[in-house]
Amino acid sequence: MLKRMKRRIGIKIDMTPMVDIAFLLLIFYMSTTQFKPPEKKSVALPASHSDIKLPEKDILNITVTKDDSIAVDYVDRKEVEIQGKKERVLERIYEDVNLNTLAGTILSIRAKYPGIFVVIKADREAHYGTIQALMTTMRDNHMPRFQLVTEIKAGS
Amino acid sequence: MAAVDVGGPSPRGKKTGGLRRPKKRLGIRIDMTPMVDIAFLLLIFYMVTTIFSLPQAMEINLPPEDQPVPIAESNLFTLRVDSEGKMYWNMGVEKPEPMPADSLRPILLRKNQEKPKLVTLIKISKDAKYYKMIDIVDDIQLVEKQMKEKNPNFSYRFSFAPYTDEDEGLITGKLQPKGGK
Repeated sequence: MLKRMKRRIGIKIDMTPMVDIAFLLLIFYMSTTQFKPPEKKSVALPASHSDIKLPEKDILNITVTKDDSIAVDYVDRKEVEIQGKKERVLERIYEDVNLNTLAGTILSIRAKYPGIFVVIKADREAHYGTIQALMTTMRDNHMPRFQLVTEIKAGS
Repeated sequence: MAAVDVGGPSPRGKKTGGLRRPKKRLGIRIDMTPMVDIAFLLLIFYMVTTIFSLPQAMEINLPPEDQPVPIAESNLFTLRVDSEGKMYWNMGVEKPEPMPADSLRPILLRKNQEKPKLVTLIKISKDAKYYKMIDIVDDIQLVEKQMKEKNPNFSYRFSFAPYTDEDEGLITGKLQPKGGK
């Protein structure tokens, strides 16, 4: 070898600020994170410019998938006795329904939780016929107000 | 690098005046690399799983069916969507015209400015996709917002009606629009 190997200089980088920032970010994400409620079926939401926020609790979700199957899910509050103490337990309940059983299911849930919001979460590729039948069922059961979940669309 | 130096022989190793001689501290170096690794893993986990934009909602308020509202024919704007998602529009009992792409909002806005009492009737084929309906309602809400800038009391009147064979016939031109219906 003609060239002599250069002697390396030991470089020490002080990582303390980086680690500080990393921890700050970590704390930020840990405190702000909200986990998505588990979905049994994935739904690709349609996009709109609507900016109404979804209510955070007391929601009755009606999910319509791409292949027009309908499912209902809601959070059920139950009182369970644990070691002699009454504890409130929240449990998400999923029910598969069809257009014939939908009305009965919704009415029984509404009887239990009168203030529940009905939210329809339908796949953008679902057939309009299903949604139409769903809306007709809602109207016939005196629930003309409901919300359709959409994703936010950028631009105007 | 990522290490803490705890104690260690201080540069001024003299005793501080107490009776007892200060214990000689051992220089402890804690290797923080694994902790930082875990911190970064957690950070990445939270960054990936967090959802910033909660889905938005669109509010629908269906009118009750058992109260027919009389509407003047001249104020009726009918919007039809066929099974392939093509849109057709007409005023009153005119012949349905195909709607060029992206022109729904300008047409709705123009018609609303011309006729303040306009009622939009939406007829969507059962085989059309659901997002067509969302797009139409979205455009209606945007037009309503635009109209409200001029007239704060403006409220867009629209309704859904079933898409029948008659509508199909009108679109394809097999049926001619009947007057006075």
